[in-house]
Amino acid sequence: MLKIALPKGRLGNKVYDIFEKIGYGCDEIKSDSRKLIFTSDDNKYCFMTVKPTDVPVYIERGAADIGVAGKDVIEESGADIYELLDLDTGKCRMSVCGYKDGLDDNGHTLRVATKFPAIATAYFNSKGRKIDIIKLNGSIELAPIIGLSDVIVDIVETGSTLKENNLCVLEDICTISARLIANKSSYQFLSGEIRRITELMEGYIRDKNN
Amino acid sequence: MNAFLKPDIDDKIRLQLTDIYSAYGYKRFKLSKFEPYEIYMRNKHFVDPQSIVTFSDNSGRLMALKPDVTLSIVSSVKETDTDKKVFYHESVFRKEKGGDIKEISQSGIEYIGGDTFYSEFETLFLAAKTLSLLNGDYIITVGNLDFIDSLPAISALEPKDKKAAFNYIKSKNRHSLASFLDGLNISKKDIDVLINVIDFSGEGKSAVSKLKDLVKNTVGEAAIESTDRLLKALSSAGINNIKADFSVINHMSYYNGTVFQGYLPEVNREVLSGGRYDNMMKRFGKEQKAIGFAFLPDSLYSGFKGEHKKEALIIYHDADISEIVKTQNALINDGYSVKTVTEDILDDRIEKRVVLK
Repeated sequence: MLKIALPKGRLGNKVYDIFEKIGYGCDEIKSDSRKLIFTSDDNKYCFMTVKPTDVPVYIERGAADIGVAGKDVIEESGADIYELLDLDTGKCRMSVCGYKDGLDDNGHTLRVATKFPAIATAYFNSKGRKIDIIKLNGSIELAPIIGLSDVIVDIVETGSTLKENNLCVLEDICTISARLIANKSSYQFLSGEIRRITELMEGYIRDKNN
Repeated sequence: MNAFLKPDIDDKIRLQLTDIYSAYGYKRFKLSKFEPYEIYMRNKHFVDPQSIVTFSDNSGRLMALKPDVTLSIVSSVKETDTDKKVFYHESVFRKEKGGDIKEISQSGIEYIGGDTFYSEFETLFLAAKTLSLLNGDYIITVGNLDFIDSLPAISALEPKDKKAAFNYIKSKNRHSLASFLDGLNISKKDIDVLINVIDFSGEGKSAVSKLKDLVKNTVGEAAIESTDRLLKALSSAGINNIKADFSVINHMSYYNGTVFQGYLPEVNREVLSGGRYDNMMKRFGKEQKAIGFAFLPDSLYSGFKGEHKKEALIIYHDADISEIVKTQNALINDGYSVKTVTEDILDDRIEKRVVLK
């Protein structure tokens, strides 16, 4: 049985719709049940809805064979997995944000508040700039406002939250979107089916954009 | 996970592997568990320094608990070792991402001086034999670094960009690879060739040779031919679970040419990893070429439920020792693990009880 991990929430629902459109539907999942695993009628595949940041962990450990997660979550986890497709949804960017002069050299080590310490560290490493990481879990924009940090590394969608707080995007790190990922071992043993799903999804996304 | 169940399986497998490797002329190489840290300092890309467990010896010298076996074997190779075939069963030590120190079982072979087509065949053949001990439905994926390096989309890249491109290839990330290379102004034609190569699925024995049409350079063609020849040779030797997969990448400072990984059903990550490492030999100033693989069976035990020997209990009162021994032998013959006591023990695992008066 093919095990598919979906992120809980808006993205998961969007992605489930794609699976349904390509023939991997599962009526059970639509019911408001407290179940955690939803199995198809023919027992050939099942869905599990998990916390978005946990999807790469499930995939890396083979608890699920394939799944969908945002590129931000994938990068931050550093999981050793295959990334098969860009689902062209859940699009946003990972950026360095703050006040206009946030990145200026003030003589002290740049303080970066973020929910994504691995991504932030890798980015500033590549720029050769030493930083102090302040790991936060939410309302990251608050940090530069109250002087907890000089800048933040965070996801930017419309940018309106930043604007409302007189902050701006200083540098873009990368673009984020939902990705189809697979466990390396599962890929070898289920390559026929996983490749087929990848192709069908690719076709669906292409047709949708045309 | 029961720690004391592991040695049972571990020892059995080690003995079987020893028999197999010895049969092909490999001799057991034993290593010490630690050595000066310097060797790993100079080879940061082979083993991540953050994963190495270090300690200071009495003179304050920084020592490392060995995180790997191949580096040690390579550094001990002498000029006169023209045909040195060794195998090993060792424990190596690594610090995990979370900081936990893990002891990892590692077995493997090194064919120092192996520079022929046959040496590649034998190495893969023994990799297949290793995996088939555990499950006949294993899969081995074989790639070729020379081939990837010869493709126009890759060969012209700066080292930093090549590293990034290899990381994309390693995770089969076609879409990110394509836009990355596009951003470096690599032609769409060259990008498509690369994508086709890493997308290649090794279905069918003659499929690999179809790739030759895609590649128009001698290094690449030779590499495809050698991979094709390898798969056909293994197939003729009865080994069919081998797939060509050019997304298999090992670090190019150490590996070149043929590289491969082995997988077992129900095991969530590769259990075997190997390839040709002439580049590593060169780094150590050795003239010889070399090829080998490492087998890491520990991931087999996570989630492993373990095999219990059925248990029997002999409860004796005044019985003769000879009678006790007779009863024990009979039970042991029937496959029981026998406990001999004067009073009954309440334990669900005990399947049979014999009371001797």
